[in-house]
Amino acid sequence: MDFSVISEALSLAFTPMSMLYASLGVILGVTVAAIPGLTGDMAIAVLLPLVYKVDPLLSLGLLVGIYKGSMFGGSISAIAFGVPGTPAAAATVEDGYPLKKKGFPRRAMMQALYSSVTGDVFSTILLMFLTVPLARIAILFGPVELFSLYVFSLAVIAMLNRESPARGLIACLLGLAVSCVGVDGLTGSTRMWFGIKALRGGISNTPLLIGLFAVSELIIQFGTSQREKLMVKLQEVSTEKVRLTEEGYDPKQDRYKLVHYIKTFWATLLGSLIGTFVGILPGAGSSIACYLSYGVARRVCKDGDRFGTGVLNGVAAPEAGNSATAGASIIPLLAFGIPGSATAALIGAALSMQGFNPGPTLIAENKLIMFAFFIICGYASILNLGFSHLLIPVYTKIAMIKKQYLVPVIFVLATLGIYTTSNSMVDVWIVLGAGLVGILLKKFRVPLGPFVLGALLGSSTERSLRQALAIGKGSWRVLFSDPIAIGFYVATILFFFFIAYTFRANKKELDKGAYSDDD
Amino acid sequence: MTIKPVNKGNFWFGVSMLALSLAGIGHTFWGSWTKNAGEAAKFFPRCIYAGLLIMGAALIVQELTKRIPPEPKALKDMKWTYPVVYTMAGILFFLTVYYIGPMVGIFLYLLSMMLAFALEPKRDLTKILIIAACCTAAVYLVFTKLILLVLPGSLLF
Repeated sequence: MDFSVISEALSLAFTPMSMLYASLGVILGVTVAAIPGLTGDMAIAVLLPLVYKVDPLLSLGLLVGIYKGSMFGGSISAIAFGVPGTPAAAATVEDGYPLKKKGFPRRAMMQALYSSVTGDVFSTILLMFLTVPLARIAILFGPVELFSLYVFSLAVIAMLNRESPARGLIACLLGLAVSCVGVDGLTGSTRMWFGIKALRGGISNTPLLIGLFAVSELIIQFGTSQREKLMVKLQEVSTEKVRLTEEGYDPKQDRYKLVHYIKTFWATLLGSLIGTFVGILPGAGSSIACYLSYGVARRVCKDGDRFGTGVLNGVAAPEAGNSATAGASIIPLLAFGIPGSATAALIGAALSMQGFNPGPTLIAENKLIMFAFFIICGYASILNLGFSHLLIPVYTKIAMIKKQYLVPVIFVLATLGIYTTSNSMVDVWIVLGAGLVGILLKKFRVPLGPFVLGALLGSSTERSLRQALAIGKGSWRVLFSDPIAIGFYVATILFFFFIAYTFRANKKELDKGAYSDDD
Repeated sequence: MTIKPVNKGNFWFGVSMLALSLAGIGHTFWGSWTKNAGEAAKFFPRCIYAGLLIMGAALIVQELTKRIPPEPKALKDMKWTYPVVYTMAGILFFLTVYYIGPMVGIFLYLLSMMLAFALEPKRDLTKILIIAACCTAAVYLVFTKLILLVLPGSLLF
């Protein structure tokens, strides 16, 4: 190990500016995620064009801070109002809100915070120690192995859609189709622009991501009456909070102690392990990890039968689970160029904007920056703990800000940001178009994650396929000529059968119970 | 015998995927760009659209043979006039920014959106005016002073 690089990376990571940007990121991430309907993805997407002029390490610190902060932030409104701030905190409501109603809001939030930070630290340690060896292996991959790896990743991304693997696959194919628009990377000829001259240059990733993650969500926020319902609910809950305070709420009883952390450590560790595993899988996001952790903890923990009534283990497991995906989802991004989640895809887009190419050669070519980035990832978790500890009451108040004021401002930042960075109206139209596509996809229950990852991985997949076929002189046999490639294909088939089996089992249960002709 | 899909949304989504994939495949054969591009450049898009064709057809067949249980509708409570209004407002905003001036465009957009989507039965115009003005100033400062990005230059400021 090169210790001189590490010491230099330490000095780079611990500059006052790096720490300031990471702190800002953490605070912004928690704040945004605490507001129901706004997510960390949205914040990162909006900031993408704004941070490209900033020093790479500072901008990456800011974005990673947002990612980590948003994992905990979602639990604030989940516990305080019974409304998850982000989809990743949906399972936290189950026990967090009952705990608050029992008179332990602070204890529930502290549990969420400590478990969240534990899960995050766990996966960040793995990020630090696993990424470099994995990248060293990946660098040995040729086009044949790379293509099989992309096939495996895209299949996992598509099939992990809980509702319908078919729609996941369609989303992935649509994303791949988007990646074909514009200049062909190998021959330089323009293609698939459907007679629209503006598309001859291709669809850039940044406006696509901003449109899908920010604009579509902003429009939905306005278009759904959920907004009104949510406001009514928040007002009801705030009245309830006042009543709780008036009727003998005892802050001393509500304290979070070391013994609580120790008692819930097993559930936290379980969530961390599950979250890390799910995070490393391409495309499997934090919402899957949080439900899976909650479900497993319910079966394994001693007080599993009391889950849903307000137990600390029911907060610890999902919070550790969703936060553990943050560090873990960056591992495949840096080692293979394959993002582990939609948010990691956004971080990947930020890296590309800064001139870095996420993939096996990234660390070898930019050792110093990447090591400093790992260190920032590590201390961002600690900053999250410190700031959130102090600012929870403030975040709870911010969660009640009317979105009537926030949403137009976010829209202005997103669209104006993309225009000022590219100086092209085409990108603005892409943002608006992608926003509308995002709404349509949501309307048809097509997941955005596989679409985005398909769009991002499309050109690399095509390049490796064409290079492999060129090596094999046009013969398809070359794709099956390598044991590693065969291993990935076998894994893909096994994964397909596993998903088909679980989907069929779920369908049978539905047929038995919930199936009704009402719809 | 009438054939009725279980989930109409899925059925029409399948139909639209079928149409899109046919258009895509057709484009790889007869698009104006195909004259100058080699077969290699057409191959991957063709595979992707063929996959979409298969998946679109599979979705339609699944729906018609009722192999999918009924699913809850997504965005059930969406008022569809809102996305249209919002998108039109977005386009107007950009045209104003581009042709009249960024500050004017931002202020007018923020003001109109905050007013249009105010929740209270009585809209507090003064409060919204102040918030819109402050937000415009904040956006201007963030772009020009903090991250040093140049806003589009036009008639007014």
